Amino acid sequence: MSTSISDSELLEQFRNPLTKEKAYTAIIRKYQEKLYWHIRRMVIEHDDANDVLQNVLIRVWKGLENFREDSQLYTWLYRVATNECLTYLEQQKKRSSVSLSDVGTGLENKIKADKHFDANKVEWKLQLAIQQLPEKQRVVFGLRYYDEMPYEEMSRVLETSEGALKASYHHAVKKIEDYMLNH
Amino acid sequence: MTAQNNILQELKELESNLAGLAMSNPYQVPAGYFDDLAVQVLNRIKALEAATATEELGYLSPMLGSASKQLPYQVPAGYFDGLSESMMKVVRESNQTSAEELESLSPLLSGLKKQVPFTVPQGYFENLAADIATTSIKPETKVVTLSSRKWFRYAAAAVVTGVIAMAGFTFLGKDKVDPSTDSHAWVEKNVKKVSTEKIEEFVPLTDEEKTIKESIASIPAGKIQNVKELMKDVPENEIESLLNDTESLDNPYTETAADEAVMN
Repeated sequence: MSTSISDSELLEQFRNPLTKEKAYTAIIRKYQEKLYWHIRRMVIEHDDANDVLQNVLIRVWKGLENFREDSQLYTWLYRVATNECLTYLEQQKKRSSVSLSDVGTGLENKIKADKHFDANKVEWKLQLAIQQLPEKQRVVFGLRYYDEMPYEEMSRVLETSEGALKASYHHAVKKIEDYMLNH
Repeated sequence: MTAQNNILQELKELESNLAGLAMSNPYQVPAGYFDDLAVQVLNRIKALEAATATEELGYLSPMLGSASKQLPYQVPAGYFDGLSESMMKVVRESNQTSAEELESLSPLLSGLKKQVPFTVPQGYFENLAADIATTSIKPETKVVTLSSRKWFRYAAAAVVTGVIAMAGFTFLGKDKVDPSTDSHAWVEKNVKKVSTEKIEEFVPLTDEEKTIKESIASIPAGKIQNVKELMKDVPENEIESLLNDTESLDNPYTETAADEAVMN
């Protein structure tokens, strides 16, 4: 089955017991990298991203049958992934008994612990800058900057108004720029 | 008149303390803030109206707009190739029956018979209900709680009262001094209660010789002569004997001395 099949077709095949597994496999192959990197940007480490991604895909298997198609499939997938990320980070916070303000410090340490980390390279400095942002603002920045997601779609993913998202993104860009100029 | 002067005048008319305060702004503004403000706001407006994310970023931050978007993180080789198969396996396992699960985990265990080798006495289950019915009716044992014994409570109250009383007597009796065992302390303690004037009155009274002389001196001369006349026929040894017999316990010395003084 080709991954160029439209989302509506994939959904139809998923609802058919005979083609359910094939459709599921196709959906995974179509969106796995987008979802993975969206998650990886939030949790940093591959093992954590893999755990979260698998949780997301299980949720997709269980919930896709009831998907009402009032939004794009990938919008729904991104929403599930974002919620799983935020839940995961919240659990990490409780497990390690760190305050909300220290979560960023923990992720910063994970970035620096990466065996390929190079503080002199712009792309690593950018990742450090992004971790200074609050969690939701990090999500907004990632969706807009890396995935170039329209604000209209983003508002459905994050269930936030477009105006608030634009303001959040603009502030995020300013903060990141200041960080990169001063570090 | 400027607005500031109007406000000051108003405050003075209201007799407010604010009229005397210096009008200074305590807040600071970053250097060069107003120089770039117009350009920043214009770029912001253009970003809001931008058609694409790339164009938007170009207005917001030319630096970020020109930077590479490649993420520096690595992914294990072949991760995405096997992801869909591994997820299907996970999904299938979640939908399995217990028999299917056991077969996937351990075909050996799956092939074993599930028959339990233990035996049960004949008629066990048939008689079980009846056995439980007869053994479950047990006479209720009387439960006697510690708190239901009244004598215990009264005894506890008596002990507590006794302890409090003992403590009170000990505390109050600390100041008492026994005169038979510690006479000096007793005298000292009681003397403190007597006023200085009383002591001064008493001190002269304890001078016995002086007291006797004063007593004698206070007797009228005629009276002394009368006594001499009465006693002139009485032998001296009889007088001495009488004096010895009637010796007073209260003031033996003064009476004897006074009598001798009269006799002479």
